[in-house]
Amino acid sequence: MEQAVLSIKNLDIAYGAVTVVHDFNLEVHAGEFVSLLGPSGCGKTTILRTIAGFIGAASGEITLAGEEITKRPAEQRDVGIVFQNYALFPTMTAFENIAFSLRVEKRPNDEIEKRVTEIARASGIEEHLNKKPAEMSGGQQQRVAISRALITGTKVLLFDEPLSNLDAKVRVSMRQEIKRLQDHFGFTAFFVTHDQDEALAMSDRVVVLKAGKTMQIGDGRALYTKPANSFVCQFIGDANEVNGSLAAQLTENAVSDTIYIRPEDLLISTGQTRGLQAKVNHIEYLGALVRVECVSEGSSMLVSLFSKDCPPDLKTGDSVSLTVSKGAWHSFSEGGDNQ
Amino acid sequence: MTTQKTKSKIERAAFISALLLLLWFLVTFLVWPLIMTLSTAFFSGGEFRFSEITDDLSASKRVRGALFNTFWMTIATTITVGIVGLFQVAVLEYFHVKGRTLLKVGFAVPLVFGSIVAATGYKFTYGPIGVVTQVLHRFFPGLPSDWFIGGHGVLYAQTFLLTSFYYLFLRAAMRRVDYSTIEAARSMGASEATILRRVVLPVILPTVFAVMLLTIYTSTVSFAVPELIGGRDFNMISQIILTLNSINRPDMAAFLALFLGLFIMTMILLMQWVEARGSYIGGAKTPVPIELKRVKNKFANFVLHAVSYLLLFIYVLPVFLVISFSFAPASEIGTQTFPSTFTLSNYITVLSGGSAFEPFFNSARMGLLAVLTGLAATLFAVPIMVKHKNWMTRLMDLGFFLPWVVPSVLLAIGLIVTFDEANPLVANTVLLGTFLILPIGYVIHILPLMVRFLRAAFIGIDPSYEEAARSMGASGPYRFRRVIFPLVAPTALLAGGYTFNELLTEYPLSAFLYNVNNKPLSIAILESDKSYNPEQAAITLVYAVLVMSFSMIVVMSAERLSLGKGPKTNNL
Repeated sequence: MEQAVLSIKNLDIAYGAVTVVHDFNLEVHAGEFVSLLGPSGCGKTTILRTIAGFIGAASGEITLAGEEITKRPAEQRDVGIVFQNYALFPTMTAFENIAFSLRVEKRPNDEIEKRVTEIARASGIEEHLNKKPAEMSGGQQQRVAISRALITGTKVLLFDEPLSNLDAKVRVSMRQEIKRLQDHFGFTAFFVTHDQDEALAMSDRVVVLKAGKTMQIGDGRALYTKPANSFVCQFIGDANEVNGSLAAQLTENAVSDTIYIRPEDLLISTGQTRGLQAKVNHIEYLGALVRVECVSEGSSMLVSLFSKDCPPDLKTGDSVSLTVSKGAWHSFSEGGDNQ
Repeated sequence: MTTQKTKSKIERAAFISALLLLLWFLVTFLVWPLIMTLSTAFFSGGEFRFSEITDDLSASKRVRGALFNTFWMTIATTITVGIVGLFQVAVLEYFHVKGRTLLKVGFAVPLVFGSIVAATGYKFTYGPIGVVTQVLHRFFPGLPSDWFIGGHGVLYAQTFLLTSFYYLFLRAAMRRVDYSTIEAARSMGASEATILRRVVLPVILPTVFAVMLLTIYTSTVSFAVPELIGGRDFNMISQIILTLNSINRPDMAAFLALFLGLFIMTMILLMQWVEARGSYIGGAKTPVPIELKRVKNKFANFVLHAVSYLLLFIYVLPVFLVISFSFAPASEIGTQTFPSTFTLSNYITVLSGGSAFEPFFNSARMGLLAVLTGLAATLFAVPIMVKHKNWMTRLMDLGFFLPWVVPSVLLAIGLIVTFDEANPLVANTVLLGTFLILPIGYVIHILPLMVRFLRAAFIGIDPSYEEAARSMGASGPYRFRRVIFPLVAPTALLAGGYTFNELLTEYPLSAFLYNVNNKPLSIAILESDKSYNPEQAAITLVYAVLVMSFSMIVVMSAERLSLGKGPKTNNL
């Protein structure tokens, strides 16, 4: 098998006596786009900063292109970082920002000129090279930040939630931009985010984290359709958590105590006695989709369906029956495995 | 890899050497002198004596008089400065007064016209040869020509010279008042008086207290103004300490300086407590800027304008006269109310070198030396203090903070009693009487201000800049030089300009520590005041104008950096 570009083995990270990341393992292959996804405080940025060398590992091993770098100072690791706010030096032009690491290496001026111009042309920012960061748009700044990280031929780029400060529309175009640049330069990306849409849309594989522990590693489809545990099931997309007798009525089956059903897997019908009897509590019309919140025996359940499939006269307070297609639910053993 | 290791070893060694040098400087020129002052004040021949020295001090009529003068002058100044200062802030930031920009410039005069320069200006305006005295003589021929000299003159001068704290800090506090809260109160039917009392005042009150304490502090250590305007019979505590030192009673001088220091420390701690307790944080993330209120009552509006412009006249008059007469032939000084001709000859005398230029050159040279040393020390130490929290940085914090609570007079006495004989801390040399003793004192004096400026600048730097530079392979010194320094450079320049400006006319330390090798500008100004020679007076006026011009550049840059644009007027 092809050797991993970035390999992390049994990594523990601690702040004082508190271990915040436990036994983290991951292999990232050349050209791969891997996202680290999890709620705030789960340790994803901590892992990224440990790979970059800003935080020391308590134990474990980090290998980059076959070389162990666990104890190496940040300035001697060959990883590029794109920061949350891009961290472009405000006193320098785009050109000087991109040229920074070449100047550190004391490269001759003509070589710097040539390499910066080349990478800027490829990133589409050639005409902005004389601008300071404050004079550039967010998209241009992002391209400068990526060019700056790549200029020395770095093959692995770490992205620390670079899209989190942007509004929804810009975020979508910027993530496409990152993917375009990855296709062009062929770098390996390690991307930290708390936004599941972003992670699923961009990544070859996603690592889901919770409280410093890996919950599941897989591609987006696998995470959604075959979640390894209740956390992943509820964190990736929506899931109704249904307990006890309600679960039995819904599935018309004897099932374990708690099951998880995606809103789109619940079927809604009127005038039927089959399935679970519920009342419509709230209807949200979202154009192509309709989301219906139903309540039964005090438990609330969300149903998502195409507008064209929704009974046209459905209204709040109506009595409905809820059913679920056979097998279209997830249940997990105590250990968390999907059954 | 090996070269990299050697390089980082050299960097580490340089770092430790710089740290040791800094510690030596602080211990030698700050901590040890303070210890020596304590020892001089309380011990003689290895014996503790407290009652003896207090007896000596209380037996002296001049000491008692100076203490009493300092006491009443401080209370009176705090009240009068408060009235004028609050009025100014109301005129500039709350009410709509025509010619606001002009008033703003006029009220800013104390920022560029302070210390000994201002004292000279006030004496030149109201003193025995002053224009005001000449005009008054036409109406009241029997008026003594030194009518202005004495405690009342000091109070008058201080009233208009110490408003700069209100101008700087209270105006900034007014800018923090969220105008939407005033509009909300108005919409709920509150009267203007209620709005001022219940909405505006609570926001600015902590700053008012802090500024009042600052006035108390400054008035207590007041030195140049009473020296020039107080006359023979009105002395304040700093002057008495200087006299005691010159009559060879360093023990009494040290005791009084410590007493003064203790009082100042109490004031500063109180000020910090008030600031911390009352720091008001508004709920609004983006406060709406205040809109100036038009006074609808015609009479009130007239009074408001009349008083504003009278104040403007008082502020501008001395500056106007100093500038005008600096271009007058020396023979017209003290004989004319306005120059009949203008000439550049006074400027040529000062700037063409020679003895008139020397004090200016001395002060500039010592100021520059002190500012560069201070900047080197703080640019090295502050990032360490901001980044690391351990016993050593706490100690450094304390070291840099100490000169702030130690009045210059106490520091001067400390340096005198420590370095008046060969001292092993400075390779067994006698520093007193050398050129270096004064710039050393200057460095200690400016350190706290520089630390305050630079600390804010360093804290404001996004840590990811440094991390980004590290990830691109930049070493510590390289990161500082290429990334961090350019970010703090404007602040460093401003701090340098500010402190240089202050040192150019520094008086308290200079009065104690100057000697034939380094006679500074402030001492030259004071000496020329006592000489009654019109040529000397003309040179002093040129000094004053040059100092003011430099101050103006510094203050304008600072104003641009800190306050930004002013408020607009409410059209209702």
